[in-house]
Amino acid sequence: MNYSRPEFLDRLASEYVLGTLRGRARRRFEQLLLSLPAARGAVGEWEHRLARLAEPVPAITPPDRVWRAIDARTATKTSSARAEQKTSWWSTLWKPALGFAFGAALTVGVVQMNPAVLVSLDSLAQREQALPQSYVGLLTDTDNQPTLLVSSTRHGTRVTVKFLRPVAVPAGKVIQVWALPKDGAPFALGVAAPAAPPKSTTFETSASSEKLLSAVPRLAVSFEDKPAQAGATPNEFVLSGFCVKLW
Amino acid sequence: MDVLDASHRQCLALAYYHGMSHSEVAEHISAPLGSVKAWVRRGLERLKKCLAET
Repeated sequence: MNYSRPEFLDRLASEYVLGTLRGRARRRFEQLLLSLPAARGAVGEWEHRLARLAEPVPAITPPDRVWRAIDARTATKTSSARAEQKTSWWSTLWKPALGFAFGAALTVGVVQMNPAVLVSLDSLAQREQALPQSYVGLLTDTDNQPTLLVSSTRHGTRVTVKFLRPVAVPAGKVIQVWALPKDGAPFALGVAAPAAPPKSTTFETSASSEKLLSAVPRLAVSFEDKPAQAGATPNEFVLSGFCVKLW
Repeated sequence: MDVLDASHRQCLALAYYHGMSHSEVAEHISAPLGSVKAWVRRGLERLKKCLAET
């Protein structure tokens, strides 16, 4: 894509800040941000524009007649209510209770219609800095040394395997990554191509990480003769570790 | 956000406040993905234009 065209850059920046620029396009744009000041400028402008959406709704001063009407109504109610007050504890309670219920319902309604009320600029800044929602697994070898960092964005189908230590793959074998669900048998996630630390390799999965890994607390690696088919039983695990959600 | 059409506004709000992707927004409001993408783009354009005027 020709990034020198300002309208392209502006559109990418807008969807980047809005959060709808996803996956590879988002990563490409993030790379671009490092090298292209115009891109950073466009993002800054859009952060400013969209931050306006998060500003609280301005307060509205009700006209005097509203207060007078409320006065008139509550004054009559309290004077007539005084006579009833001794009759039952419930009669003293139901009005505040009803008021509270209405207030709560109204608050819920307003917040649902206008979530801006709750989004502060602070949380916005945090969101910009936060790491993307991802699944991350740190696999250790039998000496408990961190060896592989397996990660994938929540809705992505690409798994990145970063080699922290060298993995000695026996000749003719492949590095098979397994998911170990909470309940159920291990299933094959994919085959990682070997690399020298600190390099990474990637592989594609059959479904999104969210689908595959949401109930998977652990990952493991075995050496297999060929990529494992569905329902295959793994060889002995050479690496294993926890798989956690990064959000 | 008042200057935006209802569909534009809803798409932007779902993406911005709820962190939804185009396809998640489309699923949420039962609209075609293409329409959602167009609404988001037009909503952003409108927003830019109206903020530039004020």
